[in-house]
Amino acid sequence: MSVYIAKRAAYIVFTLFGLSILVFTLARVLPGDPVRMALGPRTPPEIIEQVRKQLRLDRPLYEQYFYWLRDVAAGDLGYSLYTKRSVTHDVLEFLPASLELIILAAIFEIVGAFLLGVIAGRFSYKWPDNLVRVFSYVGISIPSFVWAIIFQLLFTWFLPLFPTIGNISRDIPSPPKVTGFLTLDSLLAGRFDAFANVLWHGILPALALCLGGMAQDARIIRTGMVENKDKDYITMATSQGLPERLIMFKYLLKPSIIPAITVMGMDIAGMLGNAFTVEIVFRWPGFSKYGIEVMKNVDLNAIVGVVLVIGVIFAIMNIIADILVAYVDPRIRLMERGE
Amino acid sequence: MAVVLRKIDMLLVVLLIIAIIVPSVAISYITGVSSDIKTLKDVTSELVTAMHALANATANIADAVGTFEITLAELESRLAALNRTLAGLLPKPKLLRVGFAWPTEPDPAVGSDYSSSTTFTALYDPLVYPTAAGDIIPWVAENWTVSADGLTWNFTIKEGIKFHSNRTLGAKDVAFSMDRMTKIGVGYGYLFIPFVNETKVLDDYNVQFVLKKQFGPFLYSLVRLYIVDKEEIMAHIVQGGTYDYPPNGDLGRDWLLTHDAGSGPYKVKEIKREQYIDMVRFNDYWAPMPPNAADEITYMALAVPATERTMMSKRELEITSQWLSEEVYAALDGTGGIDVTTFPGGDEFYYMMNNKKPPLDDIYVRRALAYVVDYEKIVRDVYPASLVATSCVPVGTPGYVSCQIYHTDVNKALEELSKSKYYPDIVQHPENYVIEVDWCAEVPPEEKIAMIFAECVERDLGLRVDVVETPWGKMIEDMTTEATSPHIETIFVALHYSEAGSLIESRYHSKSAPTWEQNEWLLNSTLDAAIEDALSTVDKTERFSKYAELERTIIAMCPSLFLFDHMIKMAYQTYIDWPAARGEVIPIMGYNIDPRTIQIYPPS
Repeated sequence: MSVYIAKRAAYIVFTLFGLSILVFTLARVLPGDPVRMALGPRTPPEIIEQVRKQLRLDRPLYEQYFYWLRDVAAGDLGYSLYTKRSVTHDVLEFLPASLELIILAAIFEIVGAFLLGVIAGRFSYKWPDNLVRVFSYVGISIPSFVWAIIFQLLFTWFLPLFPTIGNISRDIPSPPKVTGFLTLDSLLAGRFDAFANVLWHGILPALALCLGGMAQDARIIRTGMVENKDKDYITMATSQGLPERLIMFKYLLKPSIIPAITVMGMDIAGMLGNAFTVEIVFRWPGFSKYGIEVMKNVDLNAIVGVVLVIGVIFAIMNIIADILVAYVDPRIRLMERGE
Repeated sequence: MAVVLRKIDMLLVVLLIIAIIVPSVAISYITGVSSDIKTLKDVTSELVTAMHALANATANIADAVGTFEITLAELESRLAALNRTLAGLLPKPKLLRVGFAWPTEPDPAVGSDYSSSTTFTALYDPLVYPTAAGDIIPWVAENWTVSADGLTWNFTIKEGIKFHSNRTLGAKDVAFSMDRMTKIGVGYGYLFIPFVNETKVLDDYNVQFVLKKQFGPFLYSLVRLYIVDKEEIMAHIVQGGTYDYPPNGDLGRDWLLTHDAGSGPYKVKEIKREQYIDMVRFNDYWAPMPPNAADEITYMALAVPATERTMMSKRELEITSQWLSEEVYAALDGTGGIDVTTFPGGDEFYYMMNNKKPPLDDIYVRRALAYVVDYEKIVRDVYPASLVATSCVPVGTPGYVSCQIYHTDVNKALEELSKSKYYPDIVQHPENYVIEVDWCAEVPPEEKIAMIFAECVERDLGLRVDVVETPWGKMIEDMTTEATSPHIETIFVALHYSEAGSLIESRYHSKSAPTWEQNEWLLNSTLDAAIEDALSTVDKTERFSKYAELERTIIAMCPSLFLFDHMIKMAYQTYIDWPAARGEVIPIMGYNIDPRTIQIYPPS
């Protein structure tokens, strides 16, 4: 397994290197002058030139890339023309908020998908299955930003149960920054009020974010279960009089979730790039929203930084999903061992 | 023998002495040691007892601390409960929360957009202050003089103004603010860079600006000179960063991203760069404040219609952003306790025609287009609150004169077109005359306007119109050269400072031809000279008279289509008293949401 992980990690390094070249080049051929856009349309040309020089944008592309790569090796992702500070600082500020939201959404997605998928699989072609099917169609077909608006209207306005915007109430002092994750920092500081408050803020955006994925994963689990139900080994287990619970969770569910795990991994990783609509509606100070803003403003270094960070997280999630699949599916482990 | 015996005696005596002394000493020593041991034992025993006592005492203290902690926690909890009860009984804090399109730059030498300008108004004091009548009044500068040649301006600074740092504002701060703005060069720096040659601190409260050339509206442009605390900034400069202005490092740019160095009625409480700016009342503010001024202000990144509507309905927002759709404004207007107001934005919407590109190089074609456009329909269907333009500068701008001669008249349009040198060919080969209209992709309503324009031109003049959605960045790039500038760019342009001359210069002087503010490529040296003459006229009446003449000349040249004067629309809670909503509008961006004049009466 360790060789397997090492191989995957090596692939990631190459993938990210290629990705950095691609994005670095693409960002620089986008229409519009990033410096002029950042400094404002009335900035004198000599000032624009001065800043362009300061940021080495007057150098050839390969030279710019070399300097960028050198700085990245030192942990510096460059200067953001949009936020007027280092991209590394921005990543450290915005990424934790998004990850907190995504982790919460992932928990909802996994629990919900398993619950609904198992119910639908167990009661296939009966009313619970039909109900889950309707939920799945609605969940998949309605985009997350619409869910975000619906939830906001329903649960913050008509039924004011949740806060409208933000990730912590203004009257709750933020815990001292240690990790950047408000939840973790709250726990480290023993501030359970802040911890609960952050979770309270995260429920609606996390639900809006995960519904599509949850619906899709529930369908995959359900389909897997229905297909495997007719397999010989299940018939044999049933005929041997094994308890239904054992058959359901040990012999039926395990092989049925393998495709769902891979899809879930991709879904959860994809949330980092797709969460911007939800983050905008709930004004969640996240990384995805930051990514959209920097792209709109042709903020070269920030664009490359955002894509790279998303790439890294996507790759990590991919590895985790592969490990989980290998854990659940013995065939993968045997294949890796060459057996 | 006797000698031997004597020696033996002596030896015996010595031995006797030794036999007596040594045991005595030994006994005494042993007794002493045992005594010492006893003492040591006693001491050790005492020490052990003391340590036991200490341990007991420590345990007792720990218990006491624990008890104290518990008591303290209980006390805190009870105090918090009491606080909540009191909070329920006490009047609600007066909050002013406003939504904006982001980002906001809190540094007055960096930002220049709507939210940044509004933030400066709360955090800083300008050198002079604008009025609703379009004039200026003394503010940080209590009086001023100008030399006969209009090049040397002396300002006397009001005494007793305190910065948020508690330092006193003086001439050195004013000079530093101007130098910092021109050195950094972004934000509103463009207003001063072409004119300010030198700043001199004459004494503690007198400062002098020496201009490179005469600039009539100089005094009016000083509403953008926000005074910063020199010492505070110099204490926070960073050397060797991305921005470097030797020998003063970054001139405090990094620090001012999340702090302020002002003397305004509010000071920064917290800045979350991508979310909000929280400000609290500055109790030592020098100018009088209304009795119900806000205790706290929050300017926040919003501009999502659903979110703003929800927040307004929940009274979590006092004033919305200006970018909501007509439908949302209508819905908010129908909600109890919420009103919608409109006021001039100080900008005009132009169809900038490339006067060098056929067939628009012919004034008759341009005039035909000016007569064929359905102005009323555009305003009615797309920007209902706006006003059909009546000059090349927005109505109400100081120096404005109503001189629009174009209105919708299809016959007149056809008559003008028939005078064009292109007319015979247009009749025979209309397919050769495709007019490209580039509208800004970031402003979707512009597409509707472009469609109305295309409909009018194709239906009534027979020319073809190609409507092209273009990102703002590409528009700017296209306009940098005459060849790449399309037939028509559709753009809102705002005043730089509150005078007609501002827009006349930025729109039609040759120096702005390669910028986004002029797609016309007029390049008319006679007009340039007349603009420069007007701007260098220090006497206001004379200058305004020259502006009026320029406006008439420009309209007659028909370089652009002057479509409408943009009106800003915002929804607000009726529990706030907001002068702009009452029609007291200061025609300078950022001064209409001034917490010095807004009062809050929170509902019970």
